[in-house]
Amino acid sequence: MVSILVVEDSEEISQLLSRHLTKMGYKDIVLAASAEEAMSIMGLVHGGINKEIELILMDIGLPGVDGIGACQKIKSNQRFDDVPIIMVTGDTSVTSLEAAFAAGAIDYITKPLKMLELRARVGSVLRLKQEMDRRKARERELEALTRQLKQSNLILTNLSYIDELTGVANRRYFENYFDQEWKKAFRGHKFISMIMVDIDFFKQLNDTQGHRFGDECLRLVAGALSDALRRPGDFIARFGGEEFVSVLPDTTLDGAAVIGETMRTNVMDLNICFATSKTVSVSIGISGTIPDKSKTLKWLLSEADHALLTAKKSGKNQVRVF
Amino acid sequence: MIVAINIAYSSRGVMTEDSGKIIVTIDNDLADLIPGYLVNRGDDIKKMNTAIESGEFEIIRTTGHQLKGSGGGYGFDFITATGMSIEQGAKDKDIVEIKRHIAALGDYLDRLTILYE
Repeated sequence: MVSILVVEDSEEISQLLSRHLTKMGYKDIVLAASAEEAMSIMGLVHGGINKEIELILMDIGLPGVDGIGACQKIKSNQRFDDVPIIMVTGDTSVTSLEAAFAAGAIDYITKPLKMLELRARVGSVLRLKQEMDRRKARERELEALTRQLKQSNLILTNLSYIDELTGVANRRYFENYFDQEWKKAFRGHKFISMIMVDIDFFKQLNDTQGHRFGDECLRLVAGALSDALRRPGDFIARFGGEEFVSVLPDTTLDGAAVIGETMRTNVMDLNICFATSKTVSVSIGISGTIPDKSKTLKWLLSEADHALLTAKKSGKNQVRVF
Repeated sequence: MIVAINIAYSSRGVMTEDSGKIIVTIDNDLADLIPGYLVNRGDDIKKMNTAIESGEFEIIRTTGHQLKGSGGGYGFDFITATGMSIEQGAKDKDIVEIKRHIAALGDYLDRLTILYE
């Protein structure tokens, strides 16, 4: 239901306005004899009643705060920014009307009141407001949909970078990340290290215990390896199969060796047993360098892979630094 | 007797010669408001006459302004026109003119007959 607030100090004129508006079909007419009373009704003063209003008909020549001042005050409140104010005035001088429009009034009705004018102006202002309300509601809907779309895109992006089985990053994300960190290290002449990890006897584990056991083992090992990384820039990804790779920016070979050893012992502490006598362990190869024009990121990966191969050949469950 | 001034200002009211009565036609929807409105105009006349004696032109101006703003809305265009003249008279401090229009208003109220339709 449309609520119309009539602010008019003359009881006779406010009664007349109320009667005409009711005849026009508006049932919720609220009367205020002063700007102060109107502001109280609208909740603009402490202890007000906070009534929702769709249209205000405001006399200019009010006692106390006049209609222009009241219009300014109401319009300065964001809550009533969209509420149209029609000034009701016998003073149609240019100065007076300019002040009313500058204060935020949308239209004016002259006194003495004419039913035809009142009907036309109130009708057109309310139609305009309803159209604006519809547009704003549509804008809000579109904004909400855009937010939802952004969130969905973010989730999809994250999903495309995460290894579904283990929950750590996948190889695609590793390649992007490694490339960025390599360039940063190159520009900053900083050391960058890499750790390659391979689960020992994983094929045998899968063959004897089944793939479900193998998958659970991969999840637990991924968690143990992640636990060894403490700094925000350190990063681990599933490289493929039972292989993991970690990039350690601004980390020397000695530092990387300490982290590698922590990874190895973390996995041993999992105490995953299989084939009666074996416990799941990992072999680890480490490489590191300060990037320059003679080296590539593929070179660093290949060096870590060589170190890993050496660890495997030397009896597994150990860390080797290239 | 036909009162010429009322013919000039009346847009909705119909005035006829009928033993000096001024007949004004008013919308039936306002019927319950009219008696009170007219009683208040009688009070306005008393208030303005008192103000003339004490030289309080601001009271006369405000009352004239209110008559101007309300009369036509109820269907009494003569009251609006008279209110305008009284307001101007108060601004000019022209007691003769003010008295003349107050008297015209009194006469109008005395002879007024309302027809509702």
